[in-house]
Parts: sequence; structure tokens; C-alpha cells
Amino acid sequence: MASEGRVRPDPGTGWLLGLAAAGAAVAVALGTYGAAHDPTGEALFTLFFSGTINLKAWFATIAVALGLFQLASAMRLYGKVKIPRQVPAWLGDAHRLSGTLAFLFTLPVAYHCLWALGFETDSGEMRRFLHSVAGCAFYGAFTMKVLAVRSARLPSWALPVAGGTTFAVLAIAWSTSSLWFFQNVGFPEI
Amino acid sequence: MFRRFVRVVEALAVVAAVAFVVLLFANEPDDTPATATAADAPNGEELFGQRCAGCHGDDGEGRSGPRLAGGAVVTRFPDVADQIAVVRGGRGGMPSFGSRLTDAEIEAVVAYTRDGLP
Repeated sequence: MASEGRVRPDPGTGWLLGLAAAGAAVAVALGTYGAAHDPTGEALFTLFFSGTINLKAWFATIAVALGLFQLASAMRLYGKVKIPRQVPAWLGDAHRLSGTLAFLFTLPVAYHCLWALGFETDSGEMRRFLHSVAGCAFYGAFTMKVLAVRSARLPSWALPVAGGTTFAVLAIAWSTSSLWFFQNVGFPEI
Repeated sequence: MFRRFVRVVEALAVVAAVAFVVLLFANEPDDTPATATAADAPNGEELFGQRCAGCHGDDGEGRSGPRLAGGAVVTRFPDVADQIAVVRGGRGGMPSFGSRLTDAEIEAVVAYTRDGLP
């Protein structure tokens, strides 16, 4: 009788905590690197852009655009929107591809931020501080999302929450850098 | 076909993520300060182009870093020692160059920002 009243822990909760711990570890590791590493202050490759900063602003913008597609395609896949009426067969793969490409576009941006500029620890420099925190949090959230996609033991809400969090922190990182760049330096400033 | 392409891109992303982490640790610029001699005096303009122009603009017009040209840096730092201290130790989003540049190189690049920029 006593065992009937005992609440058994949901196995998904353990997985959820594990994913959160993995994401937090990635975010903290990046932040620690950024704070401990002596910033080089050097530029990276520029491709056809006029400077590394310009390249970063545009790569991050492309990543956010792909993130918006992720958001829209996920809402269609989950049936939260009904446009188009029939879910195209390729939409799931396109969703995966857009997320992967978004991640790839963020890598050179994050690399330059961490390697050349470092983590802003002075909360008095609010924009840069927020950007540093959101940038590291993005990779933590992304780790959680990728792991959540591959886990069948999580509650059904976990993946949308992980995806939404990933996009939200990406949007914060973008608005405290690329948006600032376009507003203060110029647009399109290729 | 499309799915296979997606998987190839995902595999590339894994490789890129590993390269990202490796390069963070492996790609350290040469920290050995150059030994300045009279015949090999640091070139402030060249150093500015290598180290500063990415953020402050090719002509110091300002980008993500503040404008330096047109006397802006002198207005901000009337005392050159204050500017040298910021270049050496960093401040806010400005990285520290104390371990990357010699004293002579810092003085040369600071002098260029004060007198050589348009």
C-alpha cells in the first residue's frame, strides 16, 4: 500500500536535467575560455567583406534568418500553423538543414568573438556583457536542442522549449551586435 | 537525395565544431615581442592596420570601436599616458595588447593614432 502512494520520478526528468547540465557545461566552458584567454585583437578572414566585423554582422544576420525559418518550419511541423495546408515532404529535412547551416554561420563569428575580443565581464558595459552571455548561452541551448532531438525519453514540450530558447538567445546575441552594428556603423556596410 | 545532402552538411558541422574548439586553443599568434632596434623601428601605421583597423576602421573613422580620427583620440585622452595604458591593459571591449606588442610598438601605434590619422 505504501508503495502505491509513492511518486515515481518521471524518467524524462533525469534526461532533461542531463541535457540542461550538458548545455550549461558548454556555455560555461565557452565563457570561461573567453574570460581567461588573452584576446588577440587580430582580424580574421574577410571573404568579400570590407572587414571582419562586417563579415560577423552579416553571418550572424544570416544565422538569425535561418533561425526564423527554423521557427516557422517547426510551427508547421507541429501543426501550430496550417500554411501550407499540406506539409511538404521535404520540410523536416529543410528544418534540419537550416539549423545546421545557422550553426555553421555562427562559428566564425563566435570564434572571432572569443579568440580576438574575449568575454566582457564588466556589467557596466551592458551591451557587450549581454552579448557575451547570450553568445555563450546560444551554444549551450544549441547543445541542448541537438541532444533533445535525438532523445525519445523527453517530455513532448522539451524540444520546442529547447528550440525556442536557442532562437531567443541567438536573437539577443544578434540584437546586441549585428543590429547595433547596422544602427551605429551603417547599413548594409558590406 | 536531399536527405543525404542534409546528412553531409551535418557531418561537416561536426567537423567544423571540432575545428572551432581546436583552433581556439591551437591558433595562438606569435607572442614573442620583436626586438626593436634603431634600424627596425616599429611602424605605427602598419601596426594600426594589423591590430586596430578591424574595429576602429582603416582610417580610424570608427566601426565597432570608437572613432579615433580627426583628433577624437586626443580629445578622449589629452594625456598620452592614459591612452597607452588602455592599449596596454585593455578596457571594456578593447583587448589588452600588453603581451602582444612591445612598449615601443605600443608607443608607435599610439603616436600614429594621434598624429598620423586623417
